[in-house]
Amino acid sequence: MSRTLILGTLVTLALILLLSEVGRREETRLAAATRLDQARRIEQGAALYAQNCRTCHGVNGEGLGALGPPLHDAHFFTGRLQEVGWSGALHDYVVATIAAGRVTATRPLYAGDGVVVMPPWARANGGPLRTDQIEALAAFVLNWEATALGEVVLSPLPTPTPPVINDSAQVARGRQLFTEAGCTTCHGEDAAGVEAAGPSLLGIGAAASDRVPGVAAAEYLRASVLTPAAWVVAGYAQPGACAAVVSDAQLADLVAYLLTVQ
Amino acid sequence: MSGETTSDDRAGREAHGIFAGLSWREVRALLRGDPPTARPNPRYRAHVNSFLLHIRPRYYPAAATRLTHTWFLGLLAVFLFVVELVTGVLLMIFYAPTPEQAYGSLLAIAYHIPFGALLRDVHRLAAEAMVVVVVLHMARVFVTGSYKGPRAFTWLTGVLLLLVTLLLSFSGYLLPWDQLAYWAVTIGTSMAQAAPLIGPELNLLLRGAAEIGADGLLRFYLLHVLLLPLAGILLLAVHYYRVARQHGISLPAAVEEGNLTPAARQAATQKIDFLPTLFLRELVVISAALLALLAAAFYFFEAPLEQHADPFHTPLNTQAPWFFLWVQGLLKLGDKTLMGVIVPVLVFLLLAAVPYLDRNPARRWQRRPLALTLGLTLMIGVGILSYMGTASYGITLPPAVGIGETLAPEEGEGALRRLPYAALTPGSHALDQPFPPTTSPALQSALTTYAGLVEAAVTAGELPQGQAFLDIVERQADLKAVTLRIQWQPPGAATPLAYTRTIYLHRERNADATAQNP
Repeated sequence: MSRTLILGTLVTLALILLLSEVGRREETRLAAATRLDQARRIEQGAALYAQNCRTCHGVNGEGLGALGPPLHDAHFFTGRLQEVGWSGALHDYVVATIAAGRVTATRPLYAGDGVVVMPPWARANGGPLRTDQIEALAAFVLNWEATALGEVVLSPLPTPTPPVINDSAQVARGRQLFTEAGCTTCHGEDAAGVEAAGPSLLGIGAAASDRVPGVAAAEYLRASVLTPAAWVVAGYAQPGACAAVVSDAQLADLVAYLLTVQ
Repeated sequence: MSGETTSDDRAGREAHGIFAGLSWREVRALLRGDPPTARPNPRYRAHVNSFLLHIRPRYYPAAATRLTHTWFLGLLAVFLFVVELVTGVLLMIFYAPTPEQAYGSLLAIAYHIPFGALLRDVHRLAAEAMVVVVVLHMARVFVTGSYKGPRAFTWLTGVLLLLVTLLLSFSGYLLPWDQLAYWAVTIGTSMAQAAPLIGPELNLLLRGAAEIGADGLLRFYLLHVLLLPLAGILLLAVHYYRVARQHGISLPAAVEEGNLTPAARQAATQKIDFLPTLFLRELVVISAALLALLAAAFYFFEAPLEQHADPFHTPLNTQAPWFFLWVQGLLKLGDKTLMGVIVPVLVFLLLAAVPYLDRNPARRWQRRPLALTLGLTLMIGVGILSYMGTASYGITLPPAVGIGETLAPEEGEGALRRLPYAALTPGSHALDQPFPPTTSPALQSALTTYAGLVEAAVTAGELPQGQAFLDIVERQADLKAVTLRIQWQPPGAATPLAYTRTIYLHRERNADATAQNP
């Protein structure tokens, strides 16, 4: 009998100790769990972004020409709400935009020809994503803030693109590719341009260097080949896709040629 | 002195209802382990006055309460059932049984509700423990031969209680609405489909539609929180009332059938009162069980939660809950109707019929070689079938997918997700090159594991001329993308084949190992 009582007292004491330990730790656990939940959302959002968004907004949210605006720039985090007259929080704006899509663009660059510029993504609107997936995407997009505002600098991509060395052999390869890949269709033989179809590229190396502030000539040309609609010269139609440039090396060759074409 | 008596009496009157008519003084004596304060023993009267006490016997023979005879398994099963009821009701506060909200409820419980994670861990752990305890209880009754004679029908209600326990566990499986839930229950109900004659109707009744969706979830929810618990309570009432009023807990066979000395027999059959001895003993056992359950849930156990259910993505490994693995093992042996439905039903019928098939009146194990051999065979058979039911048995993934699934599985952690964030040195790591000196030791060890897996597959001829890479790119502040790339050249193929798998890792993932991490 007394053994039972002693055991019972010990067990009760241990229970009280355990419960107070559980209670003591709970606040810390909740704080950590909240951070972990956010981390989980961002990870999930990153995977969804890679699946659904990067073909228009770019792998790193840099935007792809006329296909999709950049999400990873300071303007998006500081001026976008004012630009569209949204009075709520940026998070709600992002969630609403992903869920409902956009029928017309808010900037002239992006479409305006009557087609839907951004499809709706929420299931309720006929899209493929659940509410929690849209929340995860928003968490991922908003996580660009620190790098967009320059508060955090990421380590540079460790896979370097082949350098534009601009030697005669590379320029010659680029010249050949210019014809073979079909650039001449719009830009004409010898890159002299075709009226209404594509501007002349003669001297583009010098022109490209100061066309877009902060974008170097080689970068401007590289981006324009990948996404012809990135920067459209006034007076020319929205271009369609360019013919295939299949490898990074070919892209470097082509850029080397364009930098030198006079 | 007189004032003391008055307050004592008043306390006694107040306590009258709570303590089933026992006086305050009597309750105090009882809890102190003192003898009764009056004659006749007022404690026996409590068994008449109180509903809860009247279903408990006033006393047991000493030998029937020996630890080595009962192991308290019946008591523990009831205790776990009550834990499930209490934690279940608390979880219901935060849970919404719809496909849109269910998974979100689970995340909120795990991440944002105070004590929510512990609550769910306890509910889950107690559910698993309840299956174990109920099976052990049954095994104990079988081994001690306690199902014979007047206890045959009690055994039958026990088999039904086992079934209710398994179904409760299984119906609870769907509620989180994660991949594990969705696909385990899809398999379960598709087995119902294979039942002869009523299969399609039964399947439709369970799912509420061709596929599991909002209707199926609601049905499983109602089964889980209403129908099955009610059935459990009803069966438990019958089961326990028979034990308490009809035939009592069996005496150990050695006492009932053995040649004991008169003194030993008298000691074995001596009455032990429920109040206070057994009551206090049960209180201690329950407190200890509660302590063990809470401590295990708090320090060691994390209720699993996989990705959100996705009807369009079948997981690489779909596995039944462990207590139904034997059925999954059976399914690998033959067709769905025979192995998935008829054989399991026969097993349960056989279990239920044990007291009616076993005509041997002896209870001592020495005189029941056949029954015990058959019982042991059944247990071993279920064990082997369970092993055959595991996902790894008899199912192999394509080699590159298998490597990806080992290092960065769809569900759960894997070697890559366990790496500390800082150890993920950005760069493209080719496995056939020496690692650069900047590579962290943790990453080196993961790369070595990865290289070992690839090399084994290359040596086995599964990945001819296999080459493998691990790319780590910093994507955002506190977010890195980790990509496995494996390339190989099958003989005769024009171009090499490639497998890539990317996972994203956030800095906070491994920041606090004790927090919940589904």
